[in-house]
Amino acid sequence: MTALSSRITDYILKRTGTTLTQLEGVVVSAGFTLDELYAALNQVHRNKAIRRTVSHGEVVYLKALPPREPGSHLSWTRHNYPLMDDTNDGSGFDIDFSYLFLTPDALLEYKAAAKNMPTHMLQSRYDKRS
Amino acid sequence: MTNEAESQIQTAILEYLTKRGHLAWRNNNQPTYDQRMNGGHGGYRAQSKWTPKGLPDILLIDKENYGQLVGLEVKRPKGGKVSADQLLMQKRFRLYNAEYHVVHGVEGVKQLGL
Repeated sequence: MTALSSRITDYILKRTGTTLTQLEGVVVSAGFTLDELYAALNQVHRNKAIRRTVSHGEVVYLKALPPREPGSHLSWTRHNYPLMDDTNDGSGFDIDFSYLFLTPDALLEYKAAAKNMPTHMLQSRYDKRS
Repeated sequence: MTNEAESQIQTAILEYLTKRGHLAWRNNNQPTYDQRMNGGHGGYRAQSKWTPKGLPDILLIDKENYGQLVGLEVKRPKGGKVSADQLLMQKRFRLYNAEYHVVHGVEGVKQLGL
């Protein structure tokens, strides 16, 4: 990476949202030519810390977004429950196996009670499915 | 106006330019697909580091304008967007007195006087 491209990278990281026209003005006022700027931008475009978009026909340089964590779909649990240790045995995570040993009528009443809903509302949903 | 695929528009433009007698060629700047890569699962070959991003789809030498180099970036009539790399390449072309145009069909090429 050339000195100019690293300077441009620092400039963009400090002032995210800089347009190419603004960069041209800054670089030319610093004593560089447009030719040198475009050659340096070729290097800057390879830098993954910077992303570029086009807005109203103008190139806009932005700081790259932080990488997203892989979606385990357990992030809510991870952020809302403490990790298990000597004082926390993780109780409260019990999976509801009631459907295995309750009769259909008892299961319906159990679910209605758990959801604080009358039985007929759940009943109508089950009727629609069948 | 129908929304043709970009490759169909490129073919039409190249046929037109060749008929007009220009030296024009498709500038293949897409990575090549290779079925043998990744243990037979297929993949795209890496581009050379000397291939800059944003090169135009078609390059031609304008015989009627002292051999002027002209770059034509082909976009679909609907939904075709110019990327940041292509805009930068456009500026570089113009800085070196070459031409770089974004066209959406043969009509656009005719309007350029080619």
